[in-house]
Amino acid sequence: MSDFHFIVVGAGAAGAAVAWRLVEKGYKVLCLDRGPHMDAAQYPSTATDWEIQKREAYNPVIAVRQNAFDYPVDDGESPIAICNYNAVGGSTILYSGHFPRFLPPDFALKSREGLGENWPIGYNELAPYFALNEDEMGMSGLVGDPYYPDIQEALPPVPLGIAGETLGRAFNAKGWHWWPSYAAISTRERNGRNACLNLGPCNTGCPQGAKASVDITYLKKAVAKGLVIEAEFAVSKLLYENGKVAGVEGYDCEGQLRRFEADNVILASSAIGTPRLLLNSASQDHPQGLANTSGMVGRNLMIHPLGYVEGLFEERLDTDSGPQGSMLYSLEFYRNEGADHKLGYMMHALRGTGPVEAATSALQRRKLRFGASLYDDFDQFYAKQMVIAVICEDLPERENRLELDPSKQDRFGAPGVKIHYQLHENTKKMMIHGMSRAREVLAEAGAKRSYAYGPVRNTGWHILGTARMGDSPVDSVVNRKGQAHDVGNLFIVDSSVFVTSSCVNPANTIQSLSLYLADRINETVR
Amino acid sequence: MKQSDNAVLKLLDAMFPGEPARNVPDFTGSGAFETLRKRFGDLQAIAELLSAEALSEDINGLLKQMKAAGGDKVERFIEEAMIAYFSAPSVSVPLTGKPSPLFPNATVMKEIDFALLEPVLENIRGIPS
Repeated sequence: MSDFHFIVVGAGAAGAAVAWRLVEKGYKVLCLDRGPHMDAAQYPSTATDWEIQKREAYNPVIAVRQNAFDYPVDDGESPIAICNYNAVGGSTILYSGHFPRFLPPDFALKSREGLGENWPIGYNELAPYFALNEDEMGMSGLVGDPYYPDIQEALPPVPLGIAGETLGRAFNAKGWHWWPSYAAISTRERNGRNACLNLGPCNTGCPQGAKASVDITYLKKAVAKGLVIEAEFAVSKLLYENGKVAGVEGYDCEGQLRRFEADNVILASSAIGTPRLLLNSASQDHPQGLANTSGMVGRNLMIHPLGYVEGLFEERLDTDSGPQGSMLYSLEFYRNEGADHKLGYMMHALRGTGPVEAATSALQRRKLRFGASLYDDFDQFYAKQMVIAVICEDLPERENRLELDPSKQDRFGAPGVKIHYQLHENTKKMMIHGMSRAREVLAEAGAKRSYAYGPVRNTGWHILGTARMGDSPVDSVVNRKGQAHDVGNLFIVDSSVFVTSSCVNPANTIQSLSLYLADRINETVR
Repeated sequence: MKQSDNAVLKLLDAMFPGEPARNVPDFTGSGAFETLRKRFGDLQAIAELLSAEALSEDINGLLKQMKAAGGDKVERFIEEAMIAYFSAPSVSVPLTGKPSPLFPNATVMKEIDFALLEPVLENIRGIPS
């Protein structure tokens, strides 16, 4: 008899949600994360050098950051660098909190568009879990978006500010859809969490506790109900004994090799971390890696290639206030009949940057001169930039994948990963279309100049698809309950199981799916 | 302070001369030198590209010559000098009007004018069928 009913590997968006749901049902759950507990009082925006810290220990690009808790990721052959954060709270420590749902057609892409595959479940099965997740995380936004008619409750939306209203008027002039962001950011005091201060950079952690990272939401509640978290424990492999997963093996914070046993193991280590563990758990019984009879583990990697369009305005806007990554979005081009590409993209408006990034951006554009003119040139950029990120739907391609890279190891000798990824031709056409539309609307808003480029390298946050869900064990890794086809007591609940990518930020859907799968797992094991 | 540091500081003060009207200090006054020294490291190499005469030239022309001679090292020096200078609170606060550190200072922003969304509600249908 194991000490735990479940081991959850990964204390990020998905792991926290599933751990909480199972603890609520009375199970004994151990949650392991290779990263540390975070101290919000030390987040960069509490210090004067926050932009320096953002380039170093809080850099989202794992290949650049290389914290002690990270494993090596070689993304040199990919045009997009992998972004994440290893900590209790996972990537929700650094994410912007932009929180839209996947849309109903995203789950039936093959039937509707003849592309990709259909999920074995649909939006309607997830709908109650979206509502649950949004309540637990404390989502703000505005009810009434024609694209999301079934969102019925939200805290007041984050402010648009002068910048957002200017852009909103431009969208109106074009006759295009736009809406204030849905955000996992508390705009009122609620459930012991403070309201947002509008101080700007959400992507270096929120010392206010207004942005919903899972350490202060799901995990806090779950610990109160008996969840055991072991931080700084780097799982290196799963243990397969007597026809099932017996537990996991890894290294603790003192470098000691240890094993934990449980009746069931749930992987929630991201679409990079989860296949890494499965592949590193290869054995005589599973020579291609655990749960990999299909050969799909690590394959069908999807990332949201991002086009970046920056408008520069004559007058100072208030883009240095308000949540940087949550302001407004547009799904006008979610589908584009008659265009030269299939599927579509979201336009996601972003606020401006800090002074260092504004200055270096001006320098890169050869618009900043040293000497007496420096300050006037700086003034032409700071708080006068507004950005539209064009987030493109990605299609699953078998050859977009990750594999183990034994030549680069983490500090305990476990292999890193190598990324193989290329943009689909459809994506390239889509991105050109999107950047052109973004330039139009920024010009309509009064931008005197705009700069556009893509795909932006350091934007590989939305990683999906590498242990995908399906009814057939021939071409999928887990079934519609998140259960591995090959191993009955192994489950996966993170973005690895995604079948399609949509064109919206996936965090809300990752968590809602994780909650849904928790209930299916409960039905399976009890 | 080493002689090479003095030479580099003169260069940096020419690059970042300050703006007294807005109480923005020059590089020396900003206190950013130690940050630059920690992050960049090889200030000696930058000093070796300088001469007393060079500093009297147009600063942007001088930097262009230094980049031609010193390549990536000079590019990195310039970038790190920018990062150090614009991170210094003595610079960022007068230039941006924002406090440093940012937390725990709140900014009150106006509530959304919901009338702006009326055109969306009137004209947009949502997910295409």
